[in-house]
Amino acid sequence: MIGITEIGSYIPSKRVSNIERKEQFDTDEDFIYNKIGVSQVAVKEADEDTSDLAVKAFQNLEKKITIHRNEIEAVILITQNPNSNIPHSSALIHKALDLPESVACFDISLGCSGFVYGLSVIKSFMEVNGMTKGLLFTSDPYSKIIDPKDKNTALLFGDAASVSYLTDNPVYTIGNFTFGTIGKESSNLTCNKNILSMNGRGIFNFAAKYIPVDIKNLLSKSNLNIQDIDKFIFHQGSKYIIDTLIKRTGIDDGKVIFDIEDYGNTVSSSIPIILERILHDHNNKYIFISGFGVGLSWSSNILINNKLK
Amino acid sequence: MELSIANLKQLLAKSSSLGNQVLDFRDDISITEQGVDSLDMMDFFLNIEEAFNVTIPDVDIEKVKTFNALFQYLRNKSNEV
Repeated sequence: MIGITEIGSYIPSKRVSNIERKEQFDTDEDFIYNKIGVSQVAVKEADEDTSDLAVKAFQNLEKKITIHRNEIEAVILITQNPNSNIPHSSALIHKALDLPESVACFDISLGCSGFVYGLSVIKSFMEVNGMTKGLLFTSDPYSKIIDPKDKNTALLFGDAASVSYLTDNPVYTIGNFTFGTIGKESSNLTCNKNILSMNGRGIFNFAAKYIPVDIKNLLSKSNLNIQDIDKFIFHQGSKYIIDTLIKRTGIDDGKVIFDIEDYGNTVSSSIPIILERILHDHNNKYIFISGFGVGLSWSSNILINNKLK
Repeated sequence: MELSIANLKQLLAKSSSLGNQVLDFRDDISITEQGVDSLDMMDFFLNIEEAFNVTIPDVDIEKVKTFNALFQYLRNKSNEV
């Protein structure tokens, strides 16, 4: 069964401080630390593009595990900010990593729900095609589309990339999924003329109303109780959204990870970056992941520790 | 929940990090000017929508800055039904 064997990530070292911009945005440190939960955002260098971030995540993955590139069979990239419209950026990753010509490469256009959707797609794609080694990338550098004067987005989003190595010898197997879309609310988070625009209230209402219900649905579908889950990794939208989910679900806040103060909301990379940190903590049997955002779209999944089955 | 300013303040106390301090807020001064931040206001409006089964469109948010205005707005909404 295909699952996650290892994860690598890359967060650019350049930072833009929110504290230094507090007067510009008429806010204060209490709001920055305790509501947004992001004191600085990571920003890629001008000469780094989407595929470059992904390749650097792969280079970090290779520092942790030996990967024979000639054995890779599938590459999927989650992004809505590709290097260009044509070609698909996964082909540029293929080129940079000098992967075999037999590799299937394609991009998926999704935002904050993308990693979870991507897990379902790559697992299914690999299993139906008899593949045993694949790479799921996330790289969606919002600095390419953020208006630095827009308080709603400039203080929140950071750049990063991740790569999950999926094999038939996983650390975590991939359990049930839920999916959903509310297209009629999609105008709450858009990009027009290369500028991101977010209606914070619309996104907040969506997350606060739909994700608690989705959590219950997936637990029920998986015959698990909320107490059975060892860790919850929600899309790291903002501290306020995570705190709201805790308040509305009654989940023990010690089980919910929020840790983006140093680099920001990295869209589809937010879940795998956190997951990477706890992947080899074998105290966790079940990890609940949930991505939600652009679309408005959501997907949740329960990862199952292969050693504690 | 019965529509009253006291109950609206209870809902805000649930949303705001200021907690029960908001129970002493004035009814005729903007809630945000009395110290509630924009995110807590979003949570407050969502709690109102759920408690009173109403929708408060974004365009109406500017009209309901004080408890008095909010109470009147919600009373008018309930009369529309």
